Amino acid sequence: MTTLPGGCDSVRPELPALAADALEPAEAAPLRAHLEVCAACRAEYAAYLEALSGLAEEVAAEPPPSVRRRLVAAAQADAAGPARRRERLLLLGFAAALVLAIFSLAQGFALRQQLDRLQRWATDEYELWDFVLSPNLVVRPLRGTEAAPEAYGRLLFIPGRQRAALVVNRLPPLEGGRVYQAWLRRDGERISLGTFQTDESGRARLFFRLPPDFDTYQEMGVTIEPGGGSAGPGGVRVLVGSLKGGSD
Amino acid sequence: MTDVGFSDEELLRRVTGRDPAALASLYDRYAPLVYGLARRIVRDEGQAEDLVQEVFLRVWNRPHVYDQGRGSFRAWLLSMAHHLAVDLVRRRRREVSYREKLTGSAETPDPFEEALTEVDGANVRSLLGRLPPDQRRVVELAYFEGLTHREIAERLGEPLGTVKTRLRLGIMKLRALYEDGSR
Repeated sequence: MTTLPGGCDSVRPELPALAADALEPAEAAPLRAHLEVCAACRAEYAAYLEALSGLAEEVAAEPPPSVRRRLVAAAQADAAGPARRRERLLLLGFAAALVLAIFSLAQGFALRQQLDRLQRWATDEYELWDFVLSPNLVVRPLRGTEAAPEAYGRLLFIPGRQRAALVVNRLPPLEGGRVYQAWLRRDGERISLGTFQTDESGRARLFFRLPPDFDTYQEMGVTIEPGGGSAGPGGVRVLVGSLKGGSD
Repeated sequence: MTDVGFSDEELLRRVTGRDPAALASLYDRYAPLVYGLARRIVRDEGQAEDLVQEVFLRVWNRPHVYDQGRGSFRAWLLSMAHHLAVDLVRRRRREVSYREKLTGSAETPDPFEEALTEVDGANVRSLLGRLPPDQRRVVELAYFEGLTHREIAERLGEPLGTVKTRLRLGIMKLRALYEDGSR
């Protein structure tokens, strides 16, 4: 069985370029589909990957030790399990609350606000790592439109869970009290997922609940709306991404 | 510390069982290859470090994606790293091209980057050097610069069919050299 006219004979000459990632996505897709169903072409493709990996040997270089430390720390935190993470999160929350109580008495309202922000940040960090380290994580990329060509984002969710996260980068700063608003689209219908603002480098994280019929939505987008958000998207669209497709 | 006695497959089984030490062993075994390749392609040490992190976190989160029937773990890991690095440089190129459209001016080549390309090129000549120069050039442009064969044809001013043939013959020859162990 094959997905291409001409079968293996038309696929094989393209396998070296596929192995070197030298094809356009539209050219690569039918070849990859063919590899799923053809063991002989898969073996040939694997042989090209093997040969190209020889080139990597010749440019090998030792990464800084900090990369290994970060990786192992993340794996250890994940291996400790959700229960341990919840315990740590509770402990972190408790410690932050305790610090908050002591300092708010001593330093007043301004400092308490700062610590509130710190606590929210720590909670967000934990929640985000929970997503990232899940073996069932699904990622849907969002790309910047012409209004924000450098922007990009990712929708993170875990099938079966209601919570999801939107992580965005390089969005332009907003003025005049305007906000970014995230939307899900299904045919002509759009529902709001909430509003957010970015930090000075254009980053933001938005956590929200997915609707129960989430898998019937086709697209996600982010628009610029007046302060407080809008009932429906009316402003310039800055990010857009399909909800269908692979998880990478 | 590296578990030198364990095969990649055994270490992957332990990673599936959530053993961070097994991930560290795979890292010790392959991180220099992944980092070197990423650095050569993306030409930015910080981004290369992030890419190494991402590759190994993917192994940690989804070890079952590797299928032993589809070649060695090493080749699979490096192909994932290559794919991510090429994605990154292509995205960067699209951004530059968009900026050029906006500003109406092309970015001038960075002499430091060009010099670096030459140095890096010299490092891989022991294997690539066995290819005829026209094949070597297209393999370098595809594998280390992340160009598609259409982009290579534009860069070299050669017909697309010629570039496709050179790339195919070049990689087939690399395969023959690799399998003969004649390097």
